[in-house]
Amino acid sequence: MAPLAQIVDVADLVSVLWTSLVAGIGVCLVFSLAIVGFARATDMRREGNGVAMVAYMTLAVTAFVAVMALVVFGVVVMTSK
Amino acid sequence: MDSEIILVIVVVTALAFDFTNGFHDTANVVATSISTRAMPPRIAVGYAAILNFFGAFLSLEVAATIAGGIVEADLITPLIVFGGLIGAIAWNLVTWYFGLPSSSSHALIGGVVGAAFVAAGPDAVLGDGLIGKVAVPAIVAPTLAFAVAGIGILVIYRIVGRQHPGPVTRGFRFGQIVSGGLLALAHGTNDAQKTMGVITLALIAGGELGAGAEPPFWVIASAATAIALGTYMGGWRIIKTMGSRIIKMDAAQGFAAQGSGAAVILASTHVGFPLSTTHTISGAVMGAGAAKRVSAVRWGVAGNIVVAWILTLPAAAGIGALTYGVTRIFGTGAAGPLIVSAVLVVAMAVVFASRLRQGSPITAAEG
Repeated sequence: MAPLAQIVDVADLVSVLWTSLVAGIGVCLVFSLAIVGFARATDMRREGNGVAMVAYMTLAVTAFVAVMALVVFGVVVMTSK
Repeated sequence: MDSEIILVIVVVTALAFDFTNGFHDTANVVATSISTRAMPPRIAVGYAAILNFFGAFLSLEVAATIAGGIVEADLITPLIVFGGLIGAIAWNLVTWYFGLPSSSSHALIGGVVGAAFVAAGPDAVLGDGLIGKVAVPAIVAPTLAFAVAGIGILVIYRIVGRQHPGPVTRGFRFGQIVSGGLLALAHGTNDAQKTMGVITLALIAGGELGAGAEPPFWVIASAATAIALGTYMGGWRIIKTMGSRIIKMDAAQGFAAQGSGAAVILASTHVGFPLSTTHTISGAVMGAGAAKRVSAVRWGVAGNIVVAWILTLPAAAGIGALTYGVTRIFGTGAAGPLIVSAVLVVAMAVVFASRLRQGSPITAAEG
């Protein structure tokens, strides 16, 4: 039987490890920012702080669009493999 | 005439496997969403079924052979495929009976390996392929998903920790619906193709299609329908294990498990190093629980799941080998597969009736 390094494509394996870590943690991070942005924007609107409300809403929308872009990329990966 | 009957039996058995595949793997997509009440149970399985159906049409790059690189492709006959399918169906039903998530792909590979071993001897099985395509991914998938979901939930708690729980919970429930949908699409794309590959291979071997032919539309549509129906049936016992018996999760943990799981599966697909959906999501659920508190994970349940993973290949191989041996007692004609199929149908009816008597599907309150 061949050595393990010949049986498994080590380069692919390393790619899977770092891509998964970046994508998985990135999704959690960005989606959390979207939630915080929406929640804080609501609070700021209630408090009548328009500037902060706009800033938090911008953060929320940007993060949400980034998550949706990742979802679309996921579908593209599925269709193009 | 016999070869045509065998072909029909293989096609029907492949669709039955596809059904058990959907039914067995529903938990991967819906368990966390049901558990955190992101969706009511019936809506969740309906949503997963529809996306599995459409997922099956997304990509048609069907594998040329089943268990490719693991079994000598030239030696595969319809009877070996039949033995492999029966091995996989039987192991899927055994693990469903005990409520344990296990890989349907590994069960199919195991079944084919066992049947090929009996049919053509040890040379038919490629050891390197078994290690590289089954053993190593089986270790990498849950470990990686465990780590990613574990770090992911710590990041989430760090960011949302001081917010009001109401909007945070609602936000993560919405996130679970999106990530669950992505998982369901990926599952339909990957797993329905296995069945399309099996049926196409049988049609080529039976002379109904030319070598290298694309799967006909009826094959694609029937595989998509079988996996969607299986998903809609819902493997409720496995859903219960995955959704609430490993850990009691909140919406953020559910999102971390599903989001990280989806990221790992799609990253591995993108790189071309495919990992089992079941192994990945199970590992992610454990990671999302353990990162919050190690004792939050019921390690006894997790241990039973790992034992089921270890047993999947040898057990399915044993059943596949036995099935092939029994069919060959009746020669190479259709009698053997017909008798084995009849026995399997009766056994399935008994098992389902027994389980239906014992328990009803999960309710939202249970979830």
